[in-house]
Amino acid sequence: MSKMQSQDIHALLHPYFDGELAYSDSILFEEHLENCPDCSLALAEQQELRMLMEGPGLRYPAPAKLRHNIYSSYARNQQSSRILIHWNWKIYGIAASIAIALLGFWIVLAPGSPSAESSEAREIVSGHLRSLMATHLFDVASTDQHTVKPWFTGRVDFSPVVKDLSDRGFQLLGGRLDYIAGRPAAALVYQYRKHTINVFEWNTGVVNPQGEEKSTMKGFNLVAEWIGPIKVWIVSDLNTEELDILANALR
Amino acid sequence: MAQEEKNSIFAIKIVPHLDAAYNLARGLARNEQDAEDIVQDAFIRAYSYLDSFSGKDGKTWLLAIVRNTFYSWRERKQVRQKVEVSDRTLDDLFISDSSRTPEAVFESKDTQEEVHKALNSLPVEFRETLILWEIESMSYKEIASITGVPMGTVMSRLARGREMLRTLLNNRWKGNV
Ligand SMILES: [Zn+2]
Repeated sequence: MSKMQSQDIHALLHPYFDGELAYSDSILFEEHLENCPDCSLALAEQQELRMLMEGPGLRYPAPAKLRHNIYSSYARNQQSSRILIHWNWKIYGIAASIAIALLGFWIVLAPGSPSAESSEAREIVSGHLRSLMATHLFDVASTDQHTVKPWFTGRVDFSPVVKDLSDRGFQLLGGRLDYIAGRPAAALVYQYRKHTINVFEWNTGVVNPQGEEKSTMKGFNLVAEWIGPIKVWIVSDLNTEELDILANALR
Repeated sequence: MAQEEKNSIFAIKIVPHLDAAYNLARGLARNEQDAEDIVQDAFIRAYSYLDSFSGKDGKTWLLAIVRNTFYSWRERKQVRQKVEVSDRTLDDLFISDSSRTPEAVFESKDTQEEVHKALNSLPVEFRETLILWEIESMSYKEIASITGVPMGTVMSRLARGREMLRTLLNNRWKGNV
């Protein structure tokens, strides 16, 4: 940047004030400044404005509730992943043989449109993640299925499967209305050994002959099954065997 | 990315910028509850998109997500409301809102409050640039990256935004409305 029009040089005022000018431009502007009272005045005014903006009035620390939500969701993920890793090692040997078995299972049962299936699974995982990260885990918080089940009346077009399975270690915590692929779905929340499980259910309107589906995504395990026309997706960081116990119990 | 690795990157590089995220969301949405929802949503997005994070400069990366979350939130809101105050020009704000005289916009005597109100009345592109520079102390380059415009635009938005702020405050304080 050599000879500058004064119009151009005035464009340097703000970056000069902000300390964002290259050294050579900075020198250039300072030379101009010595002979330009307008720019000196403008700089003083900018300084005044900056001081006005320095107060605490424009700075908002995150509210405690929000901080708590973000921190605790992270902590929960942290804890569950540690358990998951632990499990992974423990069942490594078994897993290999199950994987081979599952591969066969998939080949037999894999539905016609795998991409639609996996996008559904993705929605389930993000629904699960959303519920863990956000405050919105429950619309109705109750361990009593006689309170949770009726809550869905009029909110979804079917009667969701809600069971008291506390004797098997699955504690019902509550439910909420969620949306999967744009459809309203009942989301039931259970807890099993401190792990949160989301059970998503919606009415497909058809009785589907497909069997159980399983998948793993982003470190979460998913099991899907059909109860009449109702599609049920179970998702958690628990392993598939444990999710199977729940799937069987809900059937 | 393994989940363990993902969680630790999230904890070390992203979560510490929560205050900055909230500050930006609050400045953009101009409302406490909306800002909370936006930040909450932005963190979920950040977590799910963590694979695309280069590992460098978590603050810039997160603030870009917060900003995008705000814009998609505003779009949804606009569909519902049709009219959005932040899309009007500064002049519109004073002329079209007949229930509020320019004086009434700054009814508070508290200086900080007046600066705050003046900032809030700026069009969103000037508001976000000023917040990122003056409050979040981001560089021109970082602001350019967050807002997706060239550095020259960041520079001219800062200059124009400050000019608008000064005009608003001068009119108020010197009484020459
Ligand atoms: Zn000059």
